[in-house]
Amino acid sequence: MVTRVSYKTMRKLKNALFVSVLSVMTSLAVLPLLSLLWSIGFHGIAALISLSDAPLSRGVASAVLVNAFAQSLVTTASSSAIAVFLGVAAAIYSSQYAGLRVGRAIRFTVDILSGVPSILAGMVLFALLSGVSSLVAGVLALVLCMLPVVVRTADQVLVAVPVAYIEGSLALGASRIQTIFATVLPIAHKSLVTALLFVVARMAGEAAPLLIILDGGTASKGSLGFQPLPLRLYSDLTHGGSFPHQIAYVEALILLVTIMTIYGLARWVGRPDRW
Amino acid sequence: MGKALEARAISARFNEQVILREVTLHMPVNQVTAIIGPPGCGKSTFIRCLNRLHETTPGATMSGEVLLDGHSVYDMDPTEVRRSVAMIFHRPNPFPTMSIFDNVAAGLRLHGLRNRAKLAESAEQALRRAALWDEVKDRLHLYSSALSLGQQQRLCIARALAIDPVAVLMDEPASTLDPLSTLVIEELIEELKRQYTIVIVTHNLQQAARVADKTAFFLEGEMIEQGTTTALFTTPQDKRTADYVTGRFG
Repeated sequence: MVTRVSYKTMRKLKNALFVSVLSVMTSLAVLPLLSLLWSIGFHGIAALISLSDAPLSRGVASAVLVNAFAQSLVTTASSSAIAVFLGVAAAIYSSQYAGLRVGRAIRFTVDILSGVPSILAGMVLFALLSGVSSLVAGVLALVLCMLPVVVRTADQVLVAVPVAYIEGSLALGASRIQTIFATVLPIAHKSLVTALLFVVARMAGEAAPLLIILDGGTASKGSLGFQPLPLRLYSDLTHGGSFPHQIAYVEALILLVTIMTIYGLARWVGRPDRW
Repeated sequence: MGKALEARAISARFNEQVILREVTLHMPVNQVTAIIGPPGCGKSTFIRCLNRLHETTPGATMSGEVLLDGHSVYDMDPTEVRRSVAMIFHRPNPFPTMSIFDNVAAGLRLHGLRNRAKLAESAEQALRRAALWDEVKDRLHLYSSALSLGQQQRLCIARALAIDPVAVLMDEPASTLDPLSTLVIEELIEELKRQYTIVIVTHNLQQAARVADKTAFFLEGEMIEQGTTTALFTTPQDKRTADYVTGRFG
């Protein structure tokens, strides 16, 4: 009896110890994220209030912010549209048409490309596109960064569509292309849109390739030149002074809210199916 | 009206692996031909060759000839072949994003029918032929997942019949179903053979004995023996067939 009790106690102790270790580790993982959210939220809102109190600062700040946000929107939307169009087409090919070997080769190449640091994409385009407008170069840089991730993500989603449904469609006399549009994409569309929104959210805050291409680091304080939000944020932080720093916190807040909104949208789109 | 199918010296491979060797079999119209044999003997691959579905699998190749009413299916457009020679799979596979009605109408829409009244009429006919109409007529707009497995399989049969095939291939159509649903499917097969050529793959010998007019026994990619179901089960000519139908292996 004594042995049974001590065994139970030991088991409970071990369980408590294990749960405690896990809790500490989880806290360590979550804490930096929470502190980042708190810091940006707190300072961003404080900066927003302080800027809106001074009419002159408010005018300059809103011009800078609206300009940067609009440019971010245009850059991210255009690059996402191009990358999604090309990437999904490539994924349809690799998942539905390419044979085993070709499909494997495409996936291997795309995996390597998606591991390339984004700053290298900026460097390559900087070398290739000297003289091209910064907007086009910026969009192309983001496309280059997004494309491998979009192809890989879309490929995984499309490959996951059960063969039974594809064969069910082919057995009705549907062609490959009819099967893709009438069966594969409708089944995969929710996962596909969710996965692609996550990629877009990740790219919305991408600054490294744009830094090289748009020479963001040298942009002058208060300049309304081509500077999407992440770049403007970098520029304001590195130019010293309290005014740019306040704007930088507001920009960080806007960026964070935008990305969280896209993530929220992705979660909403990816909610469980009714079927 | 059904049309006869004939396989002549069909061989099939997946990459280097030989699945079928020189199988020749006549599948008469208005009869049920059962293909029996232990797992991995090439039964499913054989019927997938009949409607050219085999070739859609990466690495799959085949040789030989398949005749549909005397015409080689390899001289026909594969989509036309699959439309004429419908297939039911071992696991019900109604399209999950579609309603019951849309599932039945899927094939018709794929082939260009857009008229709502004609779609509704054809869908009703197909559901009646699949003995499902009375059970679903009031919930055609529901997703197919609202149906039981047996009903889903009959929905797949209705979907296949809606495009007016001349032959129906069934790959273990009742293997995932309960006994009652199996009975309904078997009664349906009996009914359908009046209009179509039916080829059924089954590992269930009792089922083959119940539904088939003709049976072929496959082993390790070869067709060992074929004949009327009664003859094959009662007086098999080959010892391997006798061993299989008496349960000594498989």
